[in-house]
Amino acid sequence: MVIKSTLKLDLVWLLLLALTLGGAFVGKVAESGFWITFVIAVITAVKGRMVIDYFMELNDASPSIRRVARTFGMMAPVLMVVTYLWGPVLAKMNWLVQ
Amino acid sequence: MIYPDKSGGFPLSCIKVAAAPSSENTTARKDSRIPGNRAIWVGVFAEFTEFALMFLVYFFARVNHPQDFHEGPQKLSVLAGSMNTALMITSSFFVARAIMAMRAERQSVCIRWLVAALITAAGYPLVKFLEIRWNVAQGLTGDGDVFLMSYYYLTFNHLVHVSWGILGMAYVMTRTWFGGYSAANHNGLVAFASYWHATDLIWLMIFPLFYVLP
Repeated sequence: MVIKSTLKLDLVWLLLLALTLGGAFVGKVAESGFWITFVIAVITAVKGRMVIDYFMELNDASPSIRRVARTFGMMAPVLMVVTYLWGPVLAKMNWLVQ
Repeated sequence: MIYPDKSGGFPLSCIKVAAAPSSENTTARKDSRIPGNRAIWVGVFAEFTEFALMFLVYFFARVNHPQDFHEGPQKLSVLAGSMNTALMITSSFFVARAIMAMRAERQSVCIRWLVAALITAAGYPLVKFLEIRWNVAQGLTGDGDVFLMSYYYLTFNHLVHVSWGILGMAYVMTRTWFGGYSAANHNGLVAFASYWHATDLIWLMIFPLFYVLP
């Protein structure tokens, strides 16, 4: 049981490192565009979810804590895509803070 | 409405017996488990709120200065950013393994994982120092464009949180060394781990924003 859990944790760690290197490589070589933004957002969301579920062990913890952590983990990835798609529209909303 | 009795006290029937404090190891219902203790989650939620606000500022600046943010990641050292990401993930992983060792009643193994976590975590400020020195040599200072300003503001804030974490890690390591935790009761260790993983999670959000996203 313990061996199975540690093996799962080891795999999550290796996957997180691989996704980090892969994401950095994609960002370095690719030109700006929707699909690159989308791929980076998905990689960020997946990495965040893995830390929340396996390192923080929130997948079987209090639902309130889990929800807050997962919402935080989705915030940056969602905003990456939203600001790519509607950046100019959002920029026009400057008057909200002036 | 409950009224006091003739002696001025309240009837016993109106007193609710408080439930036993939830514990990492004793909570009966798995789905109501609070890792570590409630206090650490107040701190972690405050940390999430702080960085959520900073992310909003980042994206607000990004939509208003798209050119600065498009060119920004090319100016920074993606090697330093990737190394710090690897250090944060690895240190977090070592802490998770330390907790598994503690659960298996292997205190000496737990200490070894914590020492490894501390050494790895100490690499983060070291890489950050070298990165900033390199930045300054390239003329990338805090009074540059809005991308650089937000980069310094967010990453310095994160460095402060990492510094608290390193101090916390040294504390739980010392406590483990002196037998302060056991398989039956190691809530303090889990509470620290929750903070450290949250700090790792925040860096995983910061990394693509400044080093990767074109």
